[in-house]
Amino acid sequence: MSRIALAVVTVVLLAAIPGYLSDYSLGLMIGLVTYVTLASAWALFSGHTRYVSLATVAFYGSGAYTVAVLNESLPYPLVLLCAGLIGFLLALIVGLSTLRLAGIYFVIFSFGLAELIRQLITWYEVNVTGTLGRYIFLDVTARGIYWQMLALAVFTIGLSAWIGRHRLGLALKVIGDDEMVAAHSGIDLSRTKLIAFTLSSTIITLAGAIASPRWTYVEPSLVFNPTVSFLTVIMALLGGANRLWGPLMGAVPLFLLFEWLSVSFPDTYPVILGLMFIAVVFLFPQGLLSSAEAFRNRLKGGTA
Amino acid sequence: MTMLHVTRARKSFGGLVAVNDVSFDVAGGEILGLLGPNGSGKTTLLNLISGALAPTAGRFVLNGQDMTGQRADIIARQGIARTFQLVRILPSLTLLENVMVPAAFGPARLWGEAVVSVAREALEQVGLSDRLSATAGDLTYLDQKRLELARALAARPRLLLLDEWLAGLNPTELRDGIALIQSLSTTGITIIMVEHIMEAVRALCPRCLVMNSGTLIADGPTQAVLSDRHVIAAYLGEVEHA
Repeated sequence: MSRIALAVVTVVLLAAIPGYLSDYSLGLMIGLVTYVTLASAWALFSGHTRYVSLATVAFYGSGAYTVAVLNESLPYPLVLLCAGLIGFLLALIVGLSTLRLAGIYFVIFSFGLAELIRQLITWYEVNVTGTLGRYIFLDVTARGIYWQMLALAVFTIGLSAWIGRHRLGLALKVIGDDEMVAAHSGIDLSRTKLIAFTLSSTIITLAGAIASPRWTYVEPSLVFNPTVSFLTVIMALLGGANRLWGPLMGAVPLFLLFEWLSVSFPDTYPVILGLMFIAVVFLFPQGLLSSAEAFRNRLKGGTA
Repeated sequence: MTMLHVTRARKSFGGLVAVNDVSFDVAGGEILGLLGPNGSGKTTLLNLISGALAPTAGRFVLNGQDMTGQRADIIARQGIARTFQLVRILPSLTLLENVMVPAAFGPARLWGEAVVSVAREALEQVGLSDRLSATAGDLTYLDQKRLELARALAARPRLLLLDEWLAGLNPTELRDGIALIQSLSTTGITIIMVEHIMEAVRALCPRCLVMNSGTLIADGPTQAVLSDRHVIAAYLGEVEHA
């Protein structure tokens, strides 16, 4: 009970802070909450199943691009709905065709997917519509974006918590451990993976749609930037991708760190980013939360 | 009453025929031994029954329902559970979670308190009930085997497939293992067990099948089968003009 109360109070506080922030800080908060959402949504599928997806930006970018195409012809809520629907259908098609792939093949495919979508859109815009580059003019304020993204983050973590207590959560864990055992226990592998992948991808697409008005100018090479996929993975891994609060615990410090690095060392930033990726994988292969737990157990063991 | 009806089951891998037109019936409540030298196709036959492999030809009927070529998860939900030759536990899950899995997704599809109580019961049956929240990956080899059996039992299967479940145990553990399977047989469960340990086969299985290079070479009461000339030849080699 007290945990739920704490969560509610935190969300209320987070929802109330835009009034006390400068424009710069509010922008920072939007970025922060966006990455918390992305990392949590990524972990919803990849955390337990251990299917490492680098397709985050394929969906995130599709969401943003949908808004760029539709923002002048449809009311905003409908635009969001369309983005969600497109993410859902895309995830369904991709899921049905790829979730049989195991391990490294899935990683490569998911990475290629973002590139494929980017090239397809570029080709279409150049050859059919003749406009490469679109503007987003919406009267959504920065506060509005922040609140929407906060709501999506709360929804994502809530959904993960719910899944964790239900059949689907157990099924995903079993799939991550041993697919052969999962199938022989009566778990429908394709269906389970497809449900989780579709949920995760739809949320990521919505996040892209919600964040898109911040860009104003959108073109495929901007919204399909692979760094987004890598950042998401590394954040979730740092915190612990198979834990409810892991992605959040990884996203907050890493986002702030990357923000500071990109401002302070704009030239060497990509190099530092690469080194950080390596460091996270080497130092915290199980995630910060697990390492902290192991450390606490060792302390307890030492004093007992 | 016939529980499982296998007709001309065949599995070939390229030019190699691992299971060659094998037919047999298993009656409900029967404990059937499946014997044969290494590489004779026993595990492949179990894999065909459990759906791990799709047969090249043949028919598999469980309780009147045709399940030929079905996916493993559908077959599991029809009431077939198994253990694996190389023990397969879910290392990152707790013992309780391991055993909850088939109870939650198998034929009964239980959830909530029901699934926990079935899982506890199964762990109790194999003597692991004092370590419900331990992580499965930390168990010793014997305990992993027990856990795997508990997991198969928690499915409340009609047909249990044991693939050398008794292999690698020391004499005391073997005695416990045999007693455990014997105690299962009183519950009316049907078991097909691949086994190399003759002591266990004699104690547990009234009837045996023997395979050699993919073909069924004997089917009958254990004592008779074990003294069959073809069976002895399969294990020891042909006696030529001695």
